[in-house]
Amino acid sequence: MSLRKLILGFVLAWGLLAMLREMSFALAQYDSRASLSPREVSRWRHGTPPVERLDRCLAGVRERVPPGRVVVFVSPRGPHNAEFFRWRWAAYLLPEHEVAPLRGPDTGTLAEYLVAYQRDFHHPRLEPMAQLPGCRLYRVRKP
Amino acid sequence: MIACLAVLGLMLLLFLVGSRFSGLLTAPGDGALQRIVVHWMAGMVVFHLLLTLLDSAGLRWSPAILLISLGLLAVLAHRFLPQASARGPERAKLPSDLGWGDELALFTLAVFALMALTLWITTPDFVYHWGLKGERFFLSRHVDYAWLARSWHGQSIHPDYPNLLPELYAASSLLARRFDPPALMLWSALFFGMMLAAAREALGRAGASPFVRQAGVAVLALAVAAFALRQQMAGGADWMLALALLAAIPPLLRPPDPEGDLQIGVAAAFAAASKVEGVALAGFLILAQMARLAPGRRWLSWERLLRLGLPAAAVAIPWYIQVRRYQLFGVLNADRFDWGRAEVIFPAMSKIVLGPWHGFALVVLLLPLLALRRQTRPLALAAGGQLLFYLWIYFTSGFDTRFYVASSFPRLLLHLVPAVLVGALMAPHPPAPSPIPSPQPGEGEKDPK
Repeated sequence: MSLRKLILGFVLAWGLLAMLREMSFALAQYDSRASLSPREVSRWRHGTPPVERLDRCLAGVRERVPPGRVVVFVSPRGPHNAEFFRWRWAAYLLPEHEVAPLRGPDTGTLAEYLVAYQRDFHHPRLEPMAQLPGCRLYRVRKP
Repeated sequence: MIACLAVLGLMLLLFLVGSRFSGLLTAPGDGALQRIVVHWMAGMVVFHLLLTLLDSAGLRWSPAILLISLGLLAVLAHRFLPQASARGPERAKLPSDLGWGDELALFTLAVFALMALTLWITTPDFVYHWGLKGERFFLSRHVDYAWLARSWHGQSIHPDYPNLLPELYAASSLLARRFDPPALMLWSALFFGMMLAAAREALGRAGASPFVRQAGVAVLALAVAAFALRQQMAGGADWMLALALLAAIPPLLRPPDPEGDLQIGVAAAFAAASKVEGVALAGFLILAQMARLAPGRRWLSWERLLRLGLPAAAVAIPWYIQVRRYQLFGVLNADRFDWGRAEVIFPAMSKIVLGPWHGFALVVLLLPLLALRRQTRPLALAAGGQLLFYLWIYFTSGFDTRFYVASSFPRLLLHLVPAVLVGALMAPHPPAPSPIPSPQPGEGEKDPK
């Protein structure tokens, strides 16, 4: 057997090991997804409890807010840009709405609704609309 | 189930549209796998241009409009363009002698596809922008630049990216009548499968021995799947750049010919329609092919420039106009070039090469060796140019360099590693016998010397 074949055979075996290892890891994680709660929001995945909790809150928003409206989404600040990534997930789960972050450039003037997720939020322009699972929905009065 | 059928139906339709251009795209000696890959890419480029045209005309997408206009295009192309069978290239058969490497690669592809369907290995970028854009375009039935330009988005949805992938998602959803993320993951499986087909064709064309061919395809499948499972790559557009570079290898291996020029042009256009980095890759692919002297032909002619550059220009110019019009360009790379960033960039890169890539990304270190060999020099030019482009971005970015490298370089390596791996496997082999380039009108009498 030539040296070239030997090297290629070794690389192939290494590739097979790497693939099997990653497959086994991915399957093990997938099987335990119902109990996985990644601390970093940037590591959230479909089907994990944090995403399902957020979706339960936003299902109520979908029922009450007409499509196309500007919905401000606020959530607790946290390490690793947690608030930012929660806002991105909320935008993905509410594609028919315009989901804006609290500190957006035009948020104050364009906001029509506000969702406070897992935190309290007070502002004189907010009018409570509904208490939803894990969040509270407000209508925003025009200035 | 219906959503999966809709995705598969759209894939088939785009392949049929692309295959209507076979007379221009198929060179003598092209194997069935290369034809399939190029026709598919051509179909997707035509689809992207069609949607751009519909948007310019203010026509909202609907299943009827998409099916009728794609069908009309296919009929027109069949009627007015020369077809492969009429021009001589022999019919090519799919490989019926599947070897152990092919079977291992297909098994790996199936594992990836099944895992992708669960959404467990979906890239976070599907949530942050690829999937979100696809669903928005599906709901608004056009590329909604006004939404992309919303002030609060900033760069969070990469509004400046070309939109072929979200368009594929939106059109699949239109046919399925709903946005179904698991079914959309089939697109990633298709791109992965096309990458394996292109790699097998390239190794065969380079004259690799059956063992190297089989081992090469299997290693590529295993390395890419292991990386994709670990890094959650399903649903993103990085596959498309990897495919564009791999599909360009066969025409880069043989002496330049009109069909090869157009194949490179289509691969460049496909890359340019996929990601903003793809615009750079399109440029390097075109340059790599243009730098080669075509035997018996003038080095540069209008016809050659059009074949190489027109598809990418047709994709990139409307994109650039819209991005400028809506002021979508980001500011991540607005800083000055700073050599001092090397202290952060290279250590961060070395971690990635050995980590998520299980060491397979070390193959990019072979790029200089590929440049030494005439056969693989054009590939080294295109892949090396792209790698230098990424380095330049890191050296000039005002962003947090360590985070930028760590969060983007693993994915960017997917564009390069498969093609460089194939190039490295073919390097020690003698070049394959070149097919006789099909003569151009009035060129048959020229002396190649």
